Amino acid sequence: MIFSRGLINEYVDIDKISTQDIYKKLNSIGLEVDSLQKYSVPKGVVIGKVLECKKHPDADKLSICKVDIKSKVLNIVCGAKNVREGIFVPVAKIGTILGENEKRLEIKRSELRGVESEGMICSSTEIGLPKIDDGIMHIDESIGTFEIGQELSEIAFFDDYIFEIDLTPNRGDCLNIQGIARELSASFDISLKSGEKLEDEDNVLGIGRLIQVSYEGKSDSSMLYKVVKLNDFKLPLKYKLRLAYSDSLEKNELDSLLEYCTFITGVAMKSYDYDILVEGKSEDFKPLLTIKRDKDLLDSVYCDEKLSVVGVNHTNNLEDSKNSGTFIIEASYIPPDIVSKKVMGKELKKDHKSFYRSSRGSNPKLVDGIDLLCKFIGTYSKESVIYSGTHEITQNYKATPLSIDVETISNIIGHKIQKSQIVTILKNLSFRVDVSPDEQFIAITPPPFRHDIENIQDVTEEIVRIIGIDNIKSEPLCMHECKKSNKTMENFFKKRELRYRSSAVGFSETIHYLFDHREKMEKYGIEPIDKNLEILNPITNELNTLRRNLALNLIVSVERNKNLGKKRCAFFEIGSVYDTNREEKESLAYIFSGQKEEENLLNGGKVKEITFFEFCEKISSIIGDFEIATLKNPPKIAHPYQAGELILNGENIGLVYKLHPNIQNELDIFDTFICEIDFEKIPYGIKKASVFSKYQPLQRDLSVVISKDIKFSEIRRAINSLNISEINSFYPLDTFTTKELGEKISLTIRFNMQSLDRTLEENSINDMTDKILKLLEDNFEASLR
Amino acid sequence: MIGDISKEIECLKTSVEAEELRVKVFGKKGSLTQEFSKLKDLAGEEKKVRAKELNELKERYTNELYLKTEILKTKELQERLLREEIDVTLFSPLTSKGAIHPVNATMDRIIEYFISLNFGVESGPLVEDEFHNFEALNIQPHHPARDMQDTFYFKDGKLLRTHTSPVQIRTMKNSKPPIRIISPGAVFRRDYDLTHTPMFHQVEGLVVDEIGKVSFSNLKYILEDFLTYMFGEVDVRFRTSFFPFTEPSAEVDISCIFCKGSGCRVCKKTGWLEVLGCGIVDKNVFDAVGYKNVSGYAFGLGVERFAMLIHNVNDLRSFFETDTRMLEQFR
Repeated sequence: MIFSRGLINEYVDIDKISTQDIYKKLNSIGLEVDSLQKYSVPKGVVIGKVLECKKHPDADKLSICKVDIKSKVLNIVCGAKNVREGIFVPVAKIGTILGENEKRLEIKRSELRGVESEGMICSSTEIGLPKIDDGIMHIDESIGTFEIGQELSEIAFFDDYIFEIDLTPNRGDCLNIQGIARELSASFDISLKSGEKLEDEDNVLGIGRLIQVSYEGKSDSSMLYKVVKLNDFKLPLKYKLRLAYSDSLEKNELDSLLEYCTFITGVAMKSYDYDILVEGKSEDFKPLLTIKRDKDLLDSVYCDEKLSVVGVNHTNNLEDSKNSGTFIIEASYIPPDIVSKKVMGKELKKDHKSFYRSSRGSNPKLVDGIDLLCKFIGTYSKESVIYSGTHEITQNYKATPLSIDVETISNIIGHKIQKSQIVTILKNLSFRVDVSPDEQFIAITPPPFRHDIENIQDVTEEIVRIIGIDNIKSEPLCMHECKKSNKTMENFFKKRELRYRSSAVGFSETIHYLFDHREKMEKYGIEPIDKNLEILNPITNELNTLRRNLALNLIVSVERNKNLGKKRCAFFEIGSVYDTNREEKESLAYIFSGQKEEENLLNGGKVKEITFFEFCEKISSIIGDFEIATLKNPPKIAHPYQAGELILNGENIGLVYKLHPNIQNELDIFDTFICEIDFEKIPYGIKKASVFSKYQPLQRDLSVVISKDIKFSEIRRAINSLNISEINSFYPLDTFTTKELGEKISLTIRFNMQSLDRTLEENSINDMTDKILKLLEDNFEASLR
Repeated sequence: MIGDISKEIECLKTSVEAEELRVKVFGKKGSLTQEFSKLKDLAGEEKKVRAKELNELKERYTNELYLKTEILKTKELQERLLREEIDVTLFSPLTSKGAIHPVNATMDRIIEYFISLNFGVESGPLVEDEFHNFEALNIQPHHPARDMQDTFYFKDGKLLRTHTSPVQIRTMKNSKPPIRIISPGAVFRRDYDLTHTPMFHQVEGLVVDEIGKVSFSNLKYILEDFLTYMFGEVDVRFRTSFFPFTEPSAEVDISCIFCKGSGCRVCKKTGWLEVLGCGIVDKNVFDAVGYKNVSGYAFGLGVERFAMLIHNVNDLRSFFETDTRMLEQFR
């Protein structure tokens, strides 16, 4: 809703209230002010009267005008079609600056095809107003009294503030000026201005002479009809500008008037061209409008053919220039819940504007709209005829009475609210209030336009709005202790620890969308989720499925940052991934691509690319010790010979691999390593100490020559199977190949030895190393180097 | 004879030479030691005089050598330290550090605040059903509020949750009051432009206790404190608003942290920044989970909005595009 202070002032007396106070109040009562600004007609634009208007001798499209601006008569060349003698127009004098920035225009003395021009006759948009007509703006008395030569910005109408408010969907009653006036009246406790009652004129034909209205079957809608005969109807400037600000100005003058009546009263209105309905019919033909349900069970208006659908499709659609003739005016109402339920889920031809209003609740008091319309026509189109009487179909919408009690309202708010205060607020908001003096309970009936009031909490909200939340005290809550230990809480701490460790090791945290690209996944050999469980309405084709892993998104980020010139990318993410049955689990993934560190003083600018084992070492310093086992079926995106399973306590917890060189080439990225781990399987929490030896620890390195094909995991398993308790730990220290070794490698294993109960002696150490050597010789054909 | 040892001491150049001289004079075969051993050949007064003389020499040379050695050591240490000088200012922060994502860092701070106030943390599935995401939250199929939320649906009728509120429903169904929880997490709406991304994060709060206990005053109290914790000393403003699952409802603004309320581009010249939605839990929501005679409040906030304001980030989308130019500022 966009409206000016002046417009509101026509309906409620806000003369004594500052604009800033209105701004604050609107916000506090739930009508959020999106913007507040002044009209911005530039200085130097004055009112001029076109005294004379002649065609330019050398240009068909230009006119030469003599324009009186009081101080002098200006000679102005004007290109608008709608310039003519006798009209009042905005004139930008020489030196005036119109517009800002790239639209800035300074008016200068100029010559157009040999004729001097001493200013510019302006359109509404040229002087910072919304577009109303093609061509220049015609000024009329509707904007108030004015004088020739007067600065436009000094006229009261343009010396005003414009409010733009955002309405919540429950407040259809405030989609009109009277509704907003009512809210201000209740919240400031000031009176509404009442319009004068309209009487039908005597000696005018009754509506019954022109049309008949009937209904068939059940109907939810109330309808009210009036017939008018117009003669060259024109909506004055003031109203056009007000509509244009709300983007509601129609091309047709009568349609614009109907929009204006709706804008003010909230009554949904539509016009029908009577002349079309009777075209080709005999002279005594009377059109019959029938209201009945269409195939979608929506109340519709028929006159042989379907003319409109109540609350759903009743756009005004008169011919642009038709502003004379006879018109049927229709005001209608359908309860918002009924129309919303009926329209829900159906593919209907919907007119957004009509449905927006009807589904939020238009004004059920139809006569408000019709009266305002008639008043307008009476005032601004003297030669028009308003036929007496109306046709109406009225439904009885029962407002539900509610019983509310003061204590409950006070409890919800948090401090005592006086009964008298509640009564006053509700009465100001047009509720019917029946109160017996001693009782806690108050019987209330919401007004018909407040369909959103259903229970005591709704009523409390009304009280809160009008009291103002600023006037509610802040009070700490005393409450019972409740249980808190759960998996989510533990996971929060676990994630936080892993995340901070990861960043300390050099990985940056990322957040990617939960989505992935189905076709790309298939290409990379990752089976997407079951087709029958797929997203129905993806936002783009590249985000058309749920991700199965975090790796693919991380690869995209590496590619993007490589293109930004990054030589080193190290990212991680913790997030949800899905299996093919769309079951959710949390995953932790790392990616490292390119240089293992940035060039710096320590490496003298010479940096190598990260390798498989360096990558694993980083992961291990985050999540702890693990072993890596070979993969029988490495994923398609992995380098088949640089891929493994992460094994922790004998359980597979994730994958680590180098990205397949083909994909690296395709994406033009450096050597890239990926590790993806099942978050749930990462240990967290309590670590246990075990008994440790206080005797001298010893180190022994054993170097053997062994076949290339033997995996270290096999050697590890074999040595472990010896169950030598004195071996604290052992690990490969060095491997190398030479020409002489051929298909064999030299492998050095380091053993850390320590006994729990004694200092190890040389011969017992030798026994152990002999045992190990024999094992390696027997099982793997190894030999001592 | 032992010669002029004082002179020799005088001529010493290094502490090593000093040590050599010490051995040469005082060592087992040192010149002075040998003089002492000759004492056994003397007797009587002569021996006495010689012994005294030697002892005086020993004391003198010891002192002189000690002093000289100390001077040499100090000098040598000084030289060594000088040799070891490095230009410590060569240090530049190395750029191999990782960064914590500002959205998650903000989420951490929010969760930590509520944990410190005895809130529990709950979570729920991202793939939700209509009941938990809409119906139980009093968002009827025909309700205009569904217009506000453009939802990702799946072929089997499930959907991606559009807010964290379904966790309220799950928590209430799985436990009994009193309840005091927050539920942080990702939410999804079918929207993508400058100010919308299809995924973003919310933190939702819910407090439920006996009827008449939990009031709007309590809600105001905690949110005012929370916003002060997050943004520092700010003014907090509540505006009545509308959400299907709360009644009365309010939106909460803070005074603009950039212009201190005088009006700027970020606050659209209003001086206020909208940061939260909240309200008293609607009776229909309690009905949906079968709660009777209870009262409660709920609130919800967008984490990205907080992160943008707190960390001065002006492009929402950069959070999700792993734009290292933005993210690495958080190292």
